[in-house]
Amino acid sequence: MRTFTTICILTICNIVFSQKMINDFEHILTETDTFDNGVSGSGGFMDTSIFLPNTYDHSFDFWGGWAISNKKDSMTPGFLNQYSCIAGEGAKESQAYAVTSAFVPVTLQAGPNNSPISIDTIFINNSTYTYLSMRDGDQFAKRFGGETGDDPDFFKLSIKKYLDGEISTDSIEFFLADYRFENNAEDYIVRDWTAIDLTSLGLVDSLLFTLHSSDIGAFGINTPTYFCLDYVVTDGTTTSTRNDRITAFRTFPNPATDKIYLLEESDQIYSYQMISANGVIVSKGEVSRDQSIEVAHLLPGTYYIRLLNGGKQGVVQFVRE
Amino acid sequence: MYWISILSFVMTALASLEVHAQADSTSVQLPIITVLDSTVRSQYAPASSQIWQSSSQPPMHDLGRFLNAASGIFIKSFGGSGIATSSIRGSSAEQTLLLWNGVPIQNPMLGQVDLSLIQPGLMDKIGLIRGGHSSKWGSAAIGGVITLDNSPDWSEGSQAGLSMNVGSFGFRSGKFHMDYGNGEWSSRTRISHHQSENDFRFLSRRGNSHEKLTHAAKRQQDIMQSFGLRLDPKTSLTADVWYQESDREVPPTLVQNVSNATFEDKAWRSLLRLQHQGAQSIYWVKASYISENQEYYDQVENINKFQSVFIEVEHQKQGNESLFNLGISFLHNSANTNNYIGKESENRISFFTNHTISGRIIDLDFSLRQTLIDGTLSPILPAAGAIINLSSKESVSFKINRNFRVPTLNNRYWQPGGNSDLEEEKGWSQEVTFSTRRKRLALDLIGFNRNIKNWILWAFNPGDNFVSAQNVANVWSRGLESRITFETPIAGGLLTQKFGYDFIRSTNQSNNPLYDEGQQLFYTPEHKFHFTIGFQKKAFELRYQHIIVGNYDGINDSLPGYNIGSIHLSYQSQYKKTSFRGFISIENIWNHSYQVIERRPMPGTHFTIGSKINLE
Repeated sequence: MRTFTTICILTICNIVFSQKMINDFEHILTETDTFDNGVSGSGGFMDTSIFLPNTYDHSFDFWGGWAISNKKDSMTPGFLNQYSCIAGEGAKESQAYAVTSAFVPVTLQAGPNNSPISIDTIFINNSTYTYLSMRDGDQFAKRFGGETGDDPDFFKLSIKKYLDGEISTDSIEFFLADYRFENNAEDYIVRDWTAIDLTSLGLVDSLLFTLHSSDIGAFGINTPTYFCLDYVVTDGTTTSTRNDRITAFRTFPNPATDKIYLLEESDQIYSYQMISANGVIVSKGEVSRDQSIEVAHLLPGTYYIRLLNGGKQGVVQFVRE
Repeated sequence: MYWISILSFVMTALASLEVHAQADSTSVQLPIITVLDSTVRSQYAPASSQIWQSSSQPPMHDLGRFLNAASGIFIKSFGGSGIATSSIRGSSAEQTLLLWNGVPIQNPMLGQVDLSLIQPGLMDKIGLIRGGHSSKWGSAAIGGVITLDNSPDWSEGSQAGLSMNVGSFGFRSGKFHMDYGNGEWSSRTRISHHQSENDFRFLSRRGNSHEKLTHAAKRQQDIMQSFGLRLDPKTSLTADVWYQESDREVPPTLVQNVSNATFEDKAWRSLLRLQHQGAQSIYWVKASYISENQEYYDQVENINKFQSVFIEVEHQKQGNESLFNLGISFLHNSANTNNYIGKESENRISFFTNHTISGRIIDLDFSLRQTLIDGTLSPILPAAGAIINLSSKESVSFKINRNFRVPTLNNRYWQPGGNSDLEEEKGWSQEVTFSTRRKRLALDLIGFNRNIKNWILWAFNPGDNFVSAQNVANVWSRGLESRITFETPIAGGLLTQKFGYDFIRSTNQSNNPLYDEGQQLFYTPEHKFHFTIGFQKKAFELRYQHIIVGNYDGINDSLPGYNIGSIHLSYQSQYKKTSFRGFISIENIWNHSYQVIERRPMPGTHFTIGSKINLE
């Protein structure tokens, strides 16, 4: 009990004296036992100092990137329960958390200041869908350990940073499940929120999360590629609040091949960043209403345009054909 | 199930009344005519085709198991209650066309038919034609064509039959049939019930112990009713209705603790056939309507519904040494599922012609087909073949065909990943055959070559987190097939030995996300060998069959080859107008532990015992 009190005091002091920013997603959902998978077309979720991008394809009703959830179902297997965390709650007994569908790598981007941030800690956990699939298997993915229980299976999260368009060579790795032990009794699947110290990464523009599994077929990873994120602690100050959003803007055409135009109500000049799906800033500059941004040099794929103006920001997704 | 029993009883009663009524009337003998498919299209190169009269075959659980045992083609079976699809000459399951009385009955959403749901005993005749025949039969006839035929029996009188089978793992099946004909009209009724728990034990790698397969039960009912009516001596009308319903539990994989998945299928298939026969020509008109509902449940419920309308008009003219036909067919497919935006459909109109010329030394065969798909012309599909009779016993034949397959509705409209811009799979196939037929020996050696471009694969695009349908593979398939049959009279009986060996290379030739260049396609063994030795004497027949399949790759793991033996003993007798047949089959007699699809166990040694009584 004394140790716990000491840790709490030190944590509070650390936050107070070094101006730690807490991103816990608690403000995003207004109802209980629900989720937001980006169906509104917001392009992502802004918290105190980080931005979690989201893609939502209305023609397919299909989402990618991040969703915010406060669902509590830790029992139901299968895809329909894809938004739940196996802990049945957020980190530190909170309600909300982020969950990602990450068959391709996903990013966490620095917040509204258009400047790099330092991330101290993130909390990671398995989604219910993935946890139960690894524990019990399903029609597509294997039960970890395989037929004999001896298969050296693993489900691993690899975290790299982007800074000034450069990706780090080193990565921080976290095993969401590890069955590689000689003694099968030591095999585990993570089901409690676990803190990962990212201070060694220093300043970042964004983090790149990549999932790896031992259960791979011709189509790639068979294990459901989900994990949950919460309580992201960053170092530094911010001049904006969570609600400083630029919401009423669009780009046209979408998909685009040569140029895209900013459709915005105000005449303000915005600074912009064009960010690839991998979190790399591929171009930046200034743009105002009805001005175009060149995209012909980009490889085909999904990109984000992030507009910044006086501490406000907004994000919209487009596709380069 | 109850209504099937009631319907069966009513039909039986009605047919019996009709028998008595006709017995007292004076019947007029008319020349018997039989509705057949176009002979110019069904005159296959004999070496590449096999035809089985269903009545002479031992009862088989389903068409997949029947073809695996009888034909030598590779059947991708999930085991137990699982689905079964075909791979002919390295083709995909979607590249095998399945025809019921000439009507394509593939699921237009998937482009496949689950062969484990077809009961061979319902059909009069089952055929397999290996090789590309798109010019004759249309889309999807790339790897081969499986034909299921029912024809009316115009002979006078009635007959009824009942067969009952039981076997391992809770297998029970029963089939009742009743036929009646009076020369002017005919009625054929078939009712079949089939169930199995499939709770077989398999060797688990977990402690080398035997585990029991769970959640693998299957129930299936079929009822098929055919009516034939002779409108005049040259014209007949036939109506067929086939209702099928099945419920299956989907068992867990070897690396899954529990499965709650289920699969239900209900299908109505109906067909009207009109035939008019002139002195030198025959006209056929066919119209069919198919409606099928499928519900797959595995935490998420997926409901697929589709309907197909098929109409075909064909005219065949016979010369002294030639046959010529001309036809037009219309196919409308529509489907709906919760993975489509709405109801999706397609229309295809095909024009086709075939011409065969029979000479003393050379037989020639030409075909041409053009299909209009939703208003867009597909490639013209020509084909040509020749059989050179080297002697009365030896022949060499050549075939060249252009083949194609229209993308399925799922390929185009499934959300996400459907691609409405997909092109047809298309390419050419060639075949050379040497055949000899002697008194006690039949030998066929076939070499084939096939290139298919725009082969459709579901694969990930860079940056996408879902698979999408893409024309990304070019596949080169080539190989050799051999079939040898010896017959030797011995000890007052007949000893028959059949050998078959298939060597198949079917490789991807392009750069794509799923395969390396030069890689053999998944679930395509290079080597398959099978032999059968049988001895028949008087009323008894004893037969042993052995199948050896080489290694191949699945989508997750490489699968080791396997060899499976089975033994079959039957007895048949005839007393006056009553015939009886009893049999016992023991399959996988060496209790080999194997998988055809990875993570899906197959049963060890199991038996089926049954009897069949026919009354005329």
